[in-house]
Amino acid sequence: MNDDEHTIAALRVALDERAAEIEPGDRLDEILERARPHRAAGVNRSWLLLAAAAAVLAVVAGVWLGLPDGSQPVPGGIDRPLPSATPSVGSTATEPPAPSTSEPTPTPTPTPTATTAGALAVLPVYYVAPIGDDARMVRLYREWLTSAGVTRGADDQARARAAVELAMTAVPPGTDGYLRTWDGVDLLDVSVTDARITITLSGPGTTAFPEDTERVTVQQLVWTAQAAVGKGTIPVRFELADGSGAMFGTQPVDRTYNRPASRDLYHEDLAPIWVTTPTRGQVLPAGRAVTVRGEACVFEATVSWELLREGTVVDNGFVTASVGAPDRGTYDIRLGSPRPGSYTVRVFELSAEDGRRVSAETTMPFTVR
Amino acid sequence: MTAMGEHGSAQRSADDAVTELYAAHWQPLVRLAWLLLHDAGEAEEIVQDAFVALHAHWSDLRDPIAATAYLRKTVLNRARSALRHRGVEERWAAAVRGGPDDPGTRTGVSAEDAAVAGLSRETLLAALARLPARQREVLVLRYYLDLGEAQIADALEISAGSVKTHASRGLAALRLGTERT
Repeated sequence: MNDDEHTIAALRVALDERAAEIEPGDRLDEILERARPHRAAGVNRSWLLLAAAAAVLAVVAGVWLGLPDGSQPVPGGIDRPLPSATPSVGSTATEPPAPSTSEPTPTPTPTPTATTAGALAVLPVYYVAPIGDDARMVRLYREWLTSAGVTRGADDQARARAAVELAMTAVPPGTDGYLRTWDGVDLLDVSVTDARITITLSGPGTTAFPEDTERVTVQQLVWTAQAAVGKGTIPVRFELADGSGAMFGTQPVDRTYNRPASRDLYHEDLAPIWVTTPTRGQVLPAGRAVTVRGEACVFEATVSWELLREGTVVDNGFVTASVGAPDRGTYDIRLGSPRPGSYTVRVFELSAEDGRRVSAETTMPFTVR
Repeated sequence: MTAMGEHGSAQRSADDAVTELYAAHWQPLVRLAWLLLHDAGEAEEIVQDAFVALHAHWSDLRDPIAATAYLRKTVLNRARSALRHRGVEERWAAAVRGGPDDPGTRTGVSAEDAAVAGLSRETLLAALARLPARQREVLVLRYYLDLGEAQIADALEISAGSVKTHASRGLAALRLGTERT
């Protein structure tokens, strides 16, 4: 009894004090923006701006939508903890006394053999792939991967280098279909400062791709490096060790590269449909409801889906994303509690023209056990 | 999902409600999520999603009290699901955490800080982080949000009896955990 009272009193103080150190950034603007079914009409828009005056200031100041800490602006998910959102009280250079990653853990999980200094970092890595039936139209998908020796304590440079290396070379299990557009090019160096990420490559790469594919291929490394560093949109510069002036002959190295300036332009780089939950190959407990979550930039916000169990369609339907193209919305697909087995969820957009052609799609395998 | 076709005033009333609820609950909910996840970015993301979901369901709720309960439930569910994603890596980290190999307990901020103020607090929070999810949730709801048994039962969708059990087991484990370290 006394022991309990003592524990309770200490716990109250610990929770109150620790919680008080958390000062979340303002996200009202982004919440309202994401909640809108369609691009706002003029009247609603001005009302919204009034209601969210403070957040608007942040946007005007050039900060990513409602993410005043300049965090990773990847839609729907944050690639890394926001460094400035947690006061560095308690444990700075070391692992905090509790979990501190925002990365979902993919199934090919690192066995904790690396070192006792920390588990392997789970790195966001972008890949190039066709988005639908039209093989010429490629955009970026994101995977979560680990790299031997790169632990969570690794510095920005080590993380960025490992992630870019994975982007250029790795073919993770289950990700057939990603293009290996960097074949023949070696990564020589990645350096990171607060103002610039510099990626040094051995040469310009082949010139066999359509120009837009080459552009997206360069953006692949931009997104990957920025995500791995996790400090917002630090401009990325490329250097080619053989002295060439342009990657693939079309993407000059005398300029900096960056992500699109706002979320409604992400469609220039990102695949229209992503599944963010479950993660690739994730094992989910049987008897629990499964919700597939993701992002979609699709016509009239209509997202179609199929659930396949060992290759056979066992369920299908469609849902409405939080917002339609050109904005990038989020969607939830509730699958109930699928019985144990190996599943693939396929999420797709049917062409607005004929309703048959698949204009965008992605699939995500997972297991219920 | 969204009530298409009644955008105008319904949209505005949902915006209005969400703006008000945001003012009252954004910070406490992010803090709650942080206590469950120990990750500021993820905590914000989860609570943000909860507000977006609330906006979509506002026409069903239309009541600040029901909306608050909805927000809390959504945050708890998503925090739990986020923890599940961490999987093997985190289970290993949890096993190490607080033990002799935990860099956090060995090399904290400064030995002096820890000795003066931080140790018992950080030790307690580390022990809390090692508890099974339900026990941690019950303790945080009880002793951080000061919710009563019935409210906790509702938020976690478990029985009042289970709330009691989780609370007493959690407290017992905390006592042991803090003694051990």
